[in-house]
Amino acid sequence: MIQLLNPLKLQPKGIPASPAPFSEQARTMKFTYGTGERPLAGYSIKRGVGIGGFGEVYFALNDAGKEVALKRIQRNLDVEVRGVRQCLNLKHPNLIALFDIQFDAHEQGWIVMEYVSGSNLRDLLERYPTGLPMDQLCHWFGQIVAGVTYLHDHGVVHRDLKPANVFEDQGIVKIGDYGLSKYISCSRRGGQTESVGTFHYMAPEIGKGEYGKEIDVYALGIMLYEMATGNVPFDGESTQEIVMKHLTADPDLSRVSWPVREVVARALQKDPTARYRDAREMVRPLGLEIDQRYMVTTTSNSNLPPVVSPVAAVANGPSPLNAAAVAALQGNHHAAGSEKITGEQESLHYEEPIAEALRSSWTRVAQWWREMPLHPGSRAMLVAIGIIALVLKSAVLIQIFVTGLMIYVPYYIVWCFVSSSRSGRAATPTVKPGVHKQMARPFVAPQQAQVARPVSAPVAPKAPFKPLSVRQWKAAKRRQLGLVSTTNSLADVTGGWFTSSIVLAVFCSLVAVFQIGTGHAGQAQLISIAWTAIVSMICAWSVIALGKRWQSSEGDWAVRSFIQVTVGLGIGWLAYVLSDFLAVGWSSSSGPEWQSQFASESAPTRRWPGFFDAQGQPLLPAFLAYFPLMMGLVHWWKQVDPLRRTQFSLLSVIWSVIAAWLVHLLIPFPLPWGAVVAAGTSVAVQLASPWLDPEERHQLDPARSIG
Amino acid sequence: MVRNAELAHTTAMPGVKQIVNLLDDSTAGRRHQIMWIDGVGGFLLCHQDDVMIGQATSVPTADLLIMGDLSRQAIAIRRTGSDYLLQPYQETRIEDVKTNRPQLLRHCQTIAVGTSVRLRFSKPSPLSSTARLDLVSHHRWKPAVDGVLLLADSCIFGPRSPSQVQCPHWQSELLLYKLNGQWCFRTASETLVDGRVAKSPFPLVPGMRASGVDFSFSIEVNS
Repeated sequence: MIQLLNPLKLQPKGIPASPAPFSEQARTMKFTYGTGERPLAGYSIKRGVGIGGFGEVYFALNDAGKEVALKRIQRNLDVEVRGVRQCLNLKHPNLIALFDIQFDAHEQGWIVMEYVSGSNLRDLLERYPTGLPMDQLCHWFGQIVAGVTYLHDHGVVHRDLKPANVFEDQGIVKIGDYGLSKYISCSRRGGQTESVGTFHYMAPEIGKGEYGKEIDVYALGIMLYEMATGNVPFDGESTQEIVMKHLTADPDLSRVSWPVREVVARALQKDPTARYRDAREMVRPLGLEIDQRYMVTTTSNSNLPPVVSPVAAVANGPSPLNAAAVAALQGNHHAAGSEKITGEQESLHYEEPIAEALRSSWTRVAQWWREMPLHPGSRAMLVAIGIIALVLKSAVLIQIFVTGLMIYVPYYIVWCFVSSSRSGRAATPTVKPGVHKQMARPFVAPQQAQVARPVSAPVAPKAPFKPLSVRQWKAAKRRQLGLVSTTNSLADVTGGWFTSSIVLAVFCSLVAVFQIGTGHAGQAQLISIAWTAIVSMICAWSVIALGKRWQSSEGDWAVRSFIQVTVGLGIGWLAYVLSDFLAVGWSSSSGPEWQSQFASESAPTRRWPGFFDAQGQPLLPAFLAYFPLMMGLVHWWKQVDPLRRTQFSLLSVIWSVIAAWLVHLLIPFPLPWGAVVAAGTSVAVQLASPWLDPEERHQLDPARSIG
Repeated sequence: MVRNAELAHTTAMPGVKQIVNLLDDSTAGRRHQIMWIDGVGGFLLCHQDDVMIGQATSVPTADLLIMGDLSRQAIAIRRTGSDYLLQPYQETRIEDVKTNRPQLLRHCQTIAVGTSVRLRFSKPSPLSSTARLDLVSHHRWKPAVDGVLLLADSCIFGPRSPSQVQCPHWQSELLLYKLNGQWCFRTASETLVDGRVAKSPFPLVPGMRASGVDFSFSIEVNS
């Protein structure tokens, strides 16, 4: 049997009771009582707070000085009083408390309840017309869901959830107006004859008289959408239009970012059975949890500020991996109680010293680079200067690298034999490198390890929500990227083209300046630089367009490389046409090494007599051979992938140059212009391509993200 | 004793003689008016040029009382022309900068008093010297109001910014102003004062209740 509870309607301070969600709908407020009047014995009215469909609400003081809100019940007295009695003893910090029901001398009913002095969510949304920041969103939404979950678990459906019914007082979010609620019945879900509430938040099945918990879930979905975007998903000029949209239209989810999107998508299903069955499930994707005491707590991938130490947080997890993490954090390896772990620790001791020194040096340099207080533009300029220097001295550097490799590889083989005999077993045959990393550093980062922080109430240590691994996160992101509209993709591509052109202009200007500085800036060199800039731009544009096309899936590298080779043919042809048009003098613009190649009978260029003329000028076949190989050898799509590890990777640039050099060894191309094209393309595409939300990466499970 | 020490320290600073007199001139216990605006909030009206702000105790020792961890006489604010000067008597920070001497207050500055109480000073309208004080920390004024209006020459209540008190659902502005030493108000809409149709200007009288098409308020004397 469904029982209608009392409609207790507390209007927000300063906001009239309006059926519309937007407070700009001015409404005249005429209160029956003024300051100082005492319609109810023991209470002195101070001012009117608001007027709802079910009565006036006043701010008042009782004779002892206690601040209360008084609601004068103006209609359906018996029904409302009966309903409020059912709710009088509900106790939850996220619900406005009901104190008493009293009657004045005229038998007029008054509800005495908690006075909330803070603003409401509607006010806040008006201050953030494009949506709340994520921390604010989590703060409000988590506590709202905590209160709604409490109501649902006590058999009450709110039925009129909306921002104007949600307040904040002293940092605690409180839901009002739950007097409109109904008891949930197992046998029947309808029975209410009067449809009240706000159309913008009204679930489609309300028109059929169904009032299950699902209508609150739906309203929460609408509120979440509004908190994320600043607008309700279904709006219109008339009530009929809004209702029709609720019944038939799909929300525009492209305006909502992950993970809010998945919550909204499921909460706003037209079919009530397809929505969340339990309101508390709605906060889990946001890194929140409603615990057994109906308090909202944060989980490991939450944006909310942490308070619990990493050790304590990890200690909550019973897994051996977590136990090992605790031991690692405490510096007590024996506490982990695992022989395997001890063995892994020992194997660290035998790590190859040169590699370890190089790695630690690289780490320190990388850290210094990250922490250096430089503007991104200055960084880019420094990188460009470094790359130019590298490219111009690439021949010497590669010789050093190859020599070093020739010395190191035999040494490493000997070292492996020696170290295995010292340790009595192979160095690390049974231990994966990933586990090494796990044990070598405190892999539970402080922020990630924070759990069990109640937002509004006592601590409840609990971390049931598993954060995403890198692979899962990438899969989810790729699905999202697949949903990006063609128009937006086109805008991204053109934006990338524009940015890459600017980057290349700067890059090639620096090359020109460098040439001038070294006294090699003849006409031939400057024409070569112009050719390099334009060809690099063509390469960058091609890479950006292909990368955008491929960003929604991991793809097969072989297929992609083949397509790049094909595109490289076109680039080669354009490069040749441009070279011919500009009349680039390769012999005079290239270094003495290139010119000397033609003097010797054993020169590499002599292997490809059809590729070069007698003066060393590359012909069309040379272009058509060099550029496809350069394009095919480098996985360019990874450099423009929005999910790449870092926005700009120096290693990627170096690898691009090395690849160009390797191609040069096979198909000689005038130095250093082939390598400069590769370097310029790499720098430009990385700086010009979007890179997705690094904050989300910090929320990943570090233990699962390794490897 | 502490207060004497504070005084001695303050008087030792040049140019502080005038403001030190605030302590002697303290209007502690003075009766203030509260303007209760239906649907908007309650506002304490301060008519005097200088006010002492301190802790709410059973025996008030300041003009404006805050239920918080601060001295009984924590800071003083004096209006000189259209400027407001703050004199700290306990640890005070303005915009997170510690101060122990008189400071000129500017629009939208945050004043931290003691360890936890934080106030925001605002003077939103260039047309009016009236300033507003709001508690931005989770503390409360005593009596419980939403803000304090340091009335100078006029004060604007209206739907749009800049108003000292924004009343989003009103259609027109209500202006509080001083006329021949008497505070009055005027508004564009027809107004009932204590249930009777009246004509502008309407004197602001303690205990009065005024209402118009879209507004209603009462003036109460805080006892």
